[in-house]
Amino acid sequence: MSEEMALFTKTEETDGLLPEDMYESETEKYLIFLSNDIFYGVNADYVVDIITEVSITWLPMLPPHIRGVVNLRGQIVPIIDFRRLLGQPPKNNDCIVVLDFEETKIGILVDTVDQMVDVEKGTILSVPYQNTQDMQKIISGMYSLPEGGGTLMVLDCALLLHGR
Amino acid sequence: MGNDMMEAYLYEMNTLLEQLDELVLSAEKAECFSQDDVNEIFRIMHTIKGSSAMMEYNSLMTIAHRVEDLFFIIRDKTMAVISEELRPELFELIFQSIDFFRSEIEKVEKNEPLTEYIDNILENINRFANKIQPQEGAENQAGDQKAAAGQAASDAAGESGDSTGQAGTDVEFQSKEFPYGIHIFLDEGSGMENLRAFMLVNTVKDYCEEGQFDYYPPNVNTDPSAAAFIVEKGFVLRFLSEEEREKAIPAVTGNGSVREYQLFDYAEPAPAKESGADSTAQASDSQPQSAAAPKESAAAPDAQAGSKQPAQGQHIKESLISVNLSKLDQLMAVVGEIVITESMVTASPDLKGLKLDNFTQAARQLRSLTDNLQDISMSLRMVPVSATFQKMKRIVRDMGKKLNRPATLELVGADTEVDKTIVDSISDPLMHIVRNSMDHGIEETPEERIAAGKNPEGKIILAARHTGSEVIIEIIDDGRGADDDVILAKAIRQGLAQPGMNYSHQEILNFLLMPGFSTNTEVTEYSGRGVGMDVVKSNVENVGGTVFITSEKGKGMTTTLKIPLTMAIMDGMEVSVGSSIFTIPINNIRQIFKCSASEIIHDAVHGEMIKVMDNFYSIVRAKDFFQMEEGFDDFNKGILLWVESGDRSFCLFVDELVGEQQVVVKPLPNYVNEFGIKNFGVSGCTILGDGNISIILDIVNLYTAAQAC
Repeated sequence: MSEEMALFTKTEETDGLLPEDMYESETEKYLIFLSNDIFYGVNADYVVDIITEVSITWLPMLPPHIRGVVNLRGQIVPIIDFRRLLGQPPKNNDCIVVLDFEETKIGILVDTVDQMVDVEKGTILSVPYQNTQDMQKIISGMYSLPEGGGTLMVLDCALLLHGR
Repeated sequence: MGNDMMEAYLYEMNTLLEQLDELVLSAEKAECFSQDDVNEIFRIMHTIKGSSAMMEYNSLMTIAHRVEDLFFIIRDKTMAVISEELRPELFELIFQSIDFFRSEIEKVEKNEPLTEYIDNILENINRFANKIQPQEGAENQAGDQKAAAGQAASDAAGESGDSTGQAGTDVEFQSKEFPYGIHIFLDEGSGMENLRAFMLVNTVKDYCEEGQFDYYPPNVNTDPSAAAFIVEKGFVLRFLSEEEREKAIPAVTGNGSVREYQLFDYAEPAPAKESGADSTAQASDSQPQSAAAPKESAAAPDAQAGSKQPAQGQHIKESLISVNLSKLDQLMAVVGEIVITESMVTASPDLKGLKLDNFTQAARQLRSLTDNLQDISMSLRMVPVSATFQKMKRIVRDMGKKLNRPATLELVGADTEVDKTIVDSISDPLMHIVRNSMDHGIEETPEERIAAGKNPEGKIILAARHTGSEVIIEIIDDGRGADDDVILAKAIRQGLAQPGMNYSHQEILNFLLMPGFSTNTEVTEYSGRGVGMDVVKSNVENVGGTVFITSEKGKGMTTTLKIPLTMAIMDGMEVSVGSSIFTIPINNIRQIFKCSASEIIHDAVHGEMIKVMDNFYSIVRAKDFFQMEEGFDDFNKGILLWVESGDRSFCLFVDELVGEQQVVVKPLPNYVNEFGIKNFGVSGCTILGDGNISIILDIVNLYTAAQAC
């Protein structure tokens, strides 16, 4: 956790101090997390926090993929169970990536957070048409990690929030 | 144009118009404006004129200017100048102007273009001004119908009659070649008075031939020191003939920076006071001396009133500031956090078992300070309901006139304070209820009322009072009351009620609050516009309040609104079901009790009921209702809460009581609200002392949803 946080903070600093570098290399930072042994990436611009060991308050009358809400420093943030969202069996996991997309905060419950990667712009490929509708709803692209690190599914925040 | 300036302008205008409305209403009742009222209206119109000119709203400025002129006359001659018969017209005229200002301000707020065509109102004002003029004008200057003319005579009279002190300046201004003068005072603090005067001279040139007039002080365009002179003593235009002066008056009245003007005629340098008095006599000719006397006494204080009054007003205002509501919202949120954090710190589990005298003492101190802070920040948002109530007076008056149903509105407890957002949200419902009372409640004719043994004048009481955490607003009319048969028939026609069923009186009254119900078959100007009491109900419920109607046929109707004082903080009872914590507003709870399974009455469709205080109430099991996995099923183990909100009363079965707590209400994120959980009674949440979240239940919605299941 502390390592992840350090990594995360460092990125933010780089963003703030050296924006020119970003443009030169034309890369975007993506945070990689794991859910059900699949790598997902989310644009680090939207990531505001990574929290663990927080108690989620269940709310009634909601679809199963919404686990409830958490108290994030006085703010009420809804939590989406990423496994449930994709129709997979839930697990006793407690790692939450908090996203802030267009003024809306939302937490996604994932298995673990992996690392931060630089992704060159334009190298994210589109998703081939599949029958797995659940995936289509929230994944907007795919990217091959360097050195055979596997394939990254790129999470689309807009689809996640409004694509229901 | 700056937004701040605009906001300040709107705020100022709204405040002034409210003030004006109130003033005119009470004056209308007395059927007379006191001299104070007249001065006040004069001052308000002057301010409106000034600030509208600044914002370049010309139509507003012109109307304000005309009304100001009108009141200048009245101020000068006291109300005596307006005969009894003319007074209703004067009030109507002012209301008309207020309405015009209101509608224009609304347009400004909505960013719509303003009305350009204002001749109607202008004409009305002018016609009225003329009406009050000729009585004196005819005496003084035969056949003269111009508004300012009569003023001229009286001013001249006032001026010269009062001239003993100002004889020096008068002589300075007088000129033998140009005997007919206009003495002009410019707006205070407008700056560059000499240039303004020069511009005025230029405008006058459009009306009068050059050489027909001159002005004093001379060289205003080149001599900046003239400004000081003009500020102190005014500026004078002098004309060869009276006719020329008449022509120039529109130029003077049309100028935005002219505060007031007086006409005077050349008088031979007065060796003694007597001649001053003579000139009075000359100017007012046939006017009886007795009439002139009060005029003078009125004119003297007025000379200063213009400058004194605004200064006083400013002094009062200086202790008030206007704050953006969103800032107060933020403050409230932060204070809420502090309250929670304070209890998190002082009740921290890390401190358990430690003996910390100093800490405990400091914590207690902190506690009282945070309580204080909370009280103060809440009080900041509190405003009296009086402004909203005052608006209703106007509605009762207007409708009473229009429908020819004399009625009075009595305000009780108008200084009761409630949260600003709540005041805003009850304004429309109140208006609707008052309109209903006027339209449907109060009998159509005074005769009908007399026949019913009532005072021919209808009466509506608007009362507000506090009860701890709620404010109760009652609208009571002594009209016809609700006719159960009529309402029921209508409800059946609208498909709201089942024919042949027996409904209680209260149930029938509740039909009034249902969507699609309106007892008047005709759509009138005031009520029955397709929106009914159901809108009132939903508006009030939006701020967490309830609506309740009681009525007795022939005796009138009472509509009661119960509204929480503030939506941000409330007293809640924490209860647990399984591992979840729910908060129920304390004021919804009537009783909390244990019961045994044997007391429960079952009906054929798995419904469960219990008898409390000689009444049966249905039971809602929170666990089953919310489809929860954990929680007690056995009535012997859990606890029952008898809850009530409006006319809904039922028992809620939960596991345990956790305790009473003051909670800061937080709305649920939109993301989850989109799933419609509000309809299931989940209205918000709150953060508990230990950082956990509790779900706030809305009793009304919960019950409605439970009935639908």
